Amino acid sequence: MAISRIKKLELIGLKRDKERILALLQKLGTIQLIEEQGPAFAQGIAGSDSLSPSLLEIQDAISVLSVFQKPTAMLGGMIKPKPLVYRQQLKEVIELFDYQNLLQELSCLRNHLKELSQHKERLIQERYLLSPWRKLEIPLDQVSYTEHCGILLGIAGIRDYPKFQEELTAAGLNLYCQLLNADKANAYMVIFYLKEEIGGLETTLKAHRFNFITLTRHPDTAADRLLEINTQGLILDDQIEEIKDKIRNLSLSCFKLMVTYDHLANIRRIGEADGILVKQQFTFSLSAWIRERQVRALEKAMAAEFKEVALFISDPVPGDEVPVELENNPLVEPFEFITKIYGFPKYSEIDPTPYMAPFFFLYFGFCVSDAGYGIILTLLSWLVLKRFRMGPQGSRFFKLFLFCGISTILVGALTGSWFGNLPDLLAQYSKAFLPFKNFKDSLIILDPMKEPTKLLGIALCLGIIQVWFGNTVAAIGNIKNRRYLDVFLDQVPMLTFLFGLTGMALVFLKLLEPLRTPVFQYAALFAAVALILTQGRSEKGLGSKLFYGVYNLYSALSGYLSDVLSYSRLWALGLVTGVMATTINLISVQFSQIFLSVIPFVNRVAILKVIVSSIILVGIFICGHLVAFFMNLLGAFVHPVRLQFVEFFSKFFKSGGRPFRPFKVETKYINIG
Amino acid sequence: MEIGLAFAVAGAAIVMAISGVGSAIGVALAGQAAGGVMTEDPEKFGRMIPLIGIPGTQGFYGFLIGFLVLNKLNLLTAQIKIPNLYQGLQIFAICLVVSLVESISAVWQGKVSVASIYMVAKRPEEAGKALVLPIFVEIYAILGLAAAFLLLLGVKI
Repeated sequence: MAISRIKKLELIGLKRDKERILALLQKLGTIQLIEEQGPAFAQGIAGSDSLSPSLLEIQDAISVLSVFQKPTAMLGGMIKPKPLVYRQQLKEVIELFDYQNLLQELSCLRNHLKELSQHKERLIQERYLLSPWRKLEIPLDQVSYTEHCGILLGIAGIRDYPKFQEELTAAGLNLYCQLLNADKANAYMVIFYLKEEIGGLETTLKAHRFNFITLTRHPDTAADRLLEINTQGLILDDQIEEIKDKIRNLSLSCFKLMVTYDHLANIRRIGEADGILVKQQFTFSLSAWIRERQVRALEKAMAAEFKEVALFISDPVPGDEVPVELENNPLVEPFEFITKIYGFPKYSEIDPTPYMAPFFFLYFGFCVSDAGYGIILTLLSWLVLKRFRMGPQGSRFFKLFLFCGISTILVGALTGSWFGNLPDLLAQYSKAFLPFKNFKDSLIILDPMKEPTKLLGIALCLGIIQVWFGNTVAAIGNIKNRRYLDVFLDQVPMLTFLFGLTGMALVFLKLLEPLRTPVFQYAALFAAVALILTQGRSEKGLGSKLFYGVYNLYSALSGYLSDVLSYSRLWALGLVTGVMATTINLISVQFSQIFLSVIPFVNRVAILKVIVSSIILVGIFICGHLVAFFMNLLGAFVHPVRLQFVEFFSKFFKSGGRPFRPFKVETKYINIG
Repeated sequence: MEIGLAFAVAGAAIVMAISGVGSAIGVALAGQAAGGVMTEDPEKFGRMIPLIGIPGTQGFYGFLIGFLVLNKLNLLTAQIKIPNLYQGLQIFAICLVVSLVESISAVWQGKVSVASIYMVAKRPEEAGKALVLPIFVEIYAILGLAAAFLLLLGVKI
């Protein structure tokens, strides 16, 4: 229940066995190689570097093909379970599948697709440029000079156009100007002019900021060319669809590509591991971390296959940066999900998971606090766990929610909330539900609607308990690391201080008889003085020591207050669920009656009335509770997690541990079954 | 002289409507950001949906509070309870102030959602962490709802 004990392993073997040893180690997956910065230079197994570009290609191909596959992701893409592959299938694919061929084919198709798409783009561009000139009657390649005349196309501002017209006529030039098209901003025109008059024309044109336009030359007119572009576009679209279909066909082999990728990636990992080894002329050596409980299995496996291998097991030396792995009993294990979000504790320190688990379990239930929602959550998690095979991460996640669902059912039953006040409503509606209501009432120890303040008190008490516990765990951590003096100088005064303060507060709130007050006051005073004296001990200089002592005293005081008050969020979340659930019930009942009176026809016919009103009622009930369920679920997860991290872990957690990452067969795309 | 009733109903209307306004703005901000991300990569739709929906909860809370007021006044039945002027003002004040917290927190939660959406766009594997960020703002809306509920409990008509 805690951090796995890790041993150091040193292995010396013959060079000729090196690759097979590495393959066996990867298969066992129980050691983490220590990177040596030894004198022997590292060179990967020949050929492993040449694998890298092809791995990238395969990865690229997989992402392209996945776009073309039919989506099979769960929950709208939020969770993508990896497909499960059995070892036999694995072998078949690796031996028979020609991935190079597929990659080449795919590459060909993609290039072709790119060409076609670019062509299409060009056509669209051309169409965009040509379409204002549809009405030009002369073929495009005749828009140039004849013997005496010139033809030009251009755009002027539409507002400017009348004035422009006037000026042209006033200039008295021999020209023909036709307005071909006009839109909100521009006037498109063609001008036929005499070459010798180009000077005068140009001045007028420039004065009106005339934009000269050149169109690509074609033997057709603009209109004909546009038609042709459209036809070509359609042909291109068909071709593009064809190619996409071919790629879609290829995407059926995406799965095999994924298997190949994982296989090749693992081979590359062996190559990388090889680079870490210290090599001599005939032998090589490696050092690694291994979990204590797996040493025996490794020794056996090695002995079974290799006769000339030497293994040395030793304990880590203080000062080593030992990697950390958490191991806990199956009830606590799902809560490691939460610890891992925060980070890993140092190897010598404590694993907070077993201490945090019961609190989180309770708080989650407290926040959702509705037995009906708890039942839904438990059922959903259980179904997902049963139906889908997931890796350890996924199954830990859903197991966590399974447990928390049970907690929710418990807390909901104890506060009498089953989808809000549903049992009460049902009992009102018909006597048949009365025994259920009585059963539910018998379980209630506190009704949040009737006594919200008491519930607040409970939430704050939970806070006080956890803060005390946090300090206690810090003491445990110090004892484990033989920092006995720290226990006396830090935890003991702090705990006494908290004890004294809490006592004084309880007396003040008239929850305890005032007789005991002196005990609390003296405790608090004594502890305060002790804190002032001890908290500054790592500083230099008397002034600094005192200052830090007082400062720490103050922060202990205000910190305690703010920590405990932070737990009122549990109360708020729990209360709100009850309010929401009850209100949804109310809304569904009332709306089903109101809407009935609005629809005139239905009101007369009794049976229709019943049917429609039940449909409305059930509809609003289901939708409303689903929405409330998900909203509460998110909040009920995040806020207890925040409480654990900020109010609990901060008291004792020393992060900075590195996770234990064994050298093993890793799969990015598939799960091996 | 049913001015108390007028104030109470006005309060209910205000809290329902203004919380909805805040939620609408918050959700719209998130939706715009999501639209931008999806033009580049439509695959991310599934991961965006909860981020877009989260600022919407405040409108729901406002509606709930309004409904609690309506229930208190028995407004949807034949016998409406008429509050006197002071009770009406109490209800009005509660509703007005809570509508502030719901609407403003919804707008800011929308902004956090936008940041989360951009985060998911660059690093889709961190969708879980991105989802956690807007939830921290949610707690204040929840406190607002709890506050309204408790205060309304105290108004005795």
